Amino acid sequence: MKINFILIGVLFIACAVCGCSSQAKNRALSAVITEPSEASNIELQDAIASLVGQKQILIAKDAFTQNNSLTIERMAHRAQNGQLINGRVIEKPQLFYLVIRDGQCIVKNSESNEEKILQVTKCRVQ
Amino acid sequence: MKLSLNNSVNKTLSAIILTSTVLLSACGGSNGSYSTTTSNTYTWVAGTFVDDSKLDNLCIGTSNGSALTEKLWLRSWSDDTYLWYNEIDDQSPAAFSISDYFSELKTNALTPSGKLKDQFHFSMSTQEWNLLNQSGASLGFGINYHFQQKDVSLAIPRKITISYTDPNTPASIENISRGTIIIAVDGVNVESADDDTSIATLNNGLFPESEGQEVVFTLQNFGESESFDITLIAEKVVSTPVQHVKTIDTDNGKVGYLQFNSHIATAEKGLVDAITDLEAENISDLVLDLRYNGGGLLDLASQLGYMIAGEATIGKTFEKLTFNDKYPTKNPVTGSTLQPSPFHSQTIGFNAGLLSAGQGLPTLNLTRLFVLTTANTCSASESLMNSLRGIDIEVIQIGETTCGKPYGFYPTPNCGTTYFSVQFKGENEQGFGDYADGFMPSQTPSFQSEVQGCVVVDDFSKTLGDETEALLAAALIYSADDSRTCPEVSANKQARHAFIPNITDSAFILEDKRPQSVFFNNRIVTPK
Repeated sequence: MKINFILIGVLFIACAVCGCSSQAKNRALSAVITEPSEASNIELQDAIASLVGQKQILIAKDAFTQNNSLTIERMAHRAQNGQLINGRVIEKPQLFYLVIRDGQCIVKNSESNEEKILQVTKCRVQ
Repeated sequence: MKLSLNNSVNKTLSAIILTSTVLLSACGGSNGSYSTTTSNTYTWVAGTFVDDSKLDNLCIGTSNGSALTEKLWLRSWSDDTYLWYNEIDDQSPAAFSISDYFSELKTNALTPSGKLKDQFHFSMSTQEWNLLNQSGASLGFGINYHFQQKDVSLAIPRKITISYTDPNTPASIENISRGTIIIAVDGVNVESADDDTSIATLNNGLFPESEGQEVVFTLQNFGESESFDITLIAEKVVSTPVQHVKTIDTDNGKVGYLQFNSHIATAEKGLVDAITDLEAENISDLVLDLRYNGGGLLDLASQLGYMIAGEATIGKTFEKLTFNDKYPTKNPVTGSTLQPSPFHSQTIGFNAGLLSAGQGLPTLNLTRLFVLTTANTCSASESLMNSLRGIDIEVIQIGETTCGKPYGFYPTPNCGTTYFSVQFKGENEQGFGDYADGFMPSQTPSFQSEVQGCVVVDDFSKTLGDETEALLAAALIYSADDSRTCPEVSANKQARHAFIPNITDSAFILEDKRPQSVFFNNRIVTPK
């Protein structure tokens, strides 16, 4: 009987540790891009464009290299005289995060929580 | 997403003759199953309007839509939400194309100075309007151009001057400085170009469409006669909206200066850092350089208002939106009750990785502010000026008349086109928002849209933030004592109305047609 209790206890601890380990393994951590390249930039542009339902989007080459967030705004359309067509913007910009989970770089929309796994892009925990 | 317009209940449905033929035919005998076919026909009747929601997306080329239904939608939508709906001449749409009809759905009234009251009536494809980019990112060289229109009658030549460059861009790396004149682009002379091919070459060089595109600029430094060639390679560049933050020692204490170019998301961190630094320097005055700031996020203007005036903004209105008289208490687009928006005293966290939301903003707690302006100072920048004046912060304007845009709109799509029609006006704490002619600096202001200050023309001979640059120098002179002295250079000049290019021939326009544009779409005309 005593042995059974010990076994159950060991099993419980083992499961708990296992669970913790699994949880840590699946946890998404803030990340930054380590080796930005033409290919990673194209991949990032395609991923974010896909997340916002656009065909293309312009992202700078150093995006996500200094910090894990990126703001996306509507392009600045201008009238013939150079003035912004909409110079009084009420619409909130969209925010994206770069995270790393299970060794994979993932770009994530902060509002919708939709995400895309980046295959080519290399990143590390921030 | 289509914005629905609520509460248009007062519209007279009988205004549009609606012929509905409902054909019901029994199927399957007595089992009670029916198929229904509905055919609606809308026509124009002067002075009467159908609810625009009934005309939503009844598009040309579809089974239930036509050019007429698209035009009738525009007409009803304008009648419902256009700020000056009762100044529209209700014409039959029959003789107009859809886009031409939209152009008619606006007021032709003039401002007190004689310019068109509504110069903000636009449309573009919804696909183009929906294009996004990283905040501040674009393809180019990091150059901000100032275009001078050619005017034969006044013997003014076409001229492109570099107003400023952004740091860490091809232009700044090559030490191309403010005031540099662009003589030629890829061998085409800017001043004399007068044919399609030449204009196309200029456009292609000024506004590159592909990364790696090499462009040969023939430049002339300010005040020099010799020109030189330099090749720049287009790349993705990111603008720096807050630049040249500095303090200047004067006899009356330290004066802070900052150049604020655009109300984009990344400016939040830049402004907080700048104001934090200036607060630590215990400045007694601030010169805010808005001369190239055409607006953007209103929330940023509200935050900056707090960061300048601090306690004076508590409980006060930054701006209140007012719509047409059909909607005295309700926003016709969102349906929400109209309420004044306050000055934001906390961070919003537009880029939370750089600056998280909910932190208290720094503030200078100033009671007066110097703003440097040109005709490019517009929209949210004017809103900032107006809101501070509304809470009795002394705003002193140095420079030229601002663009005059107290108006705004909710871009509204229909049938693949997004329409921009003025729907609201922004008013300050005191209910003032009538500055369609722009804010004009004046030593003896007599109208509310005239602002105490000095008329000074933009000075390309000096870098921005240079204490001898004409606008900043004038602000420093003005702030030095209570005599409110303006520099002599501006003594004989009158406050000018906002510059609107005289575009007469679209065939010879220099313009940025790229969808990723964040450059000025300035256009230059070769008069025939």
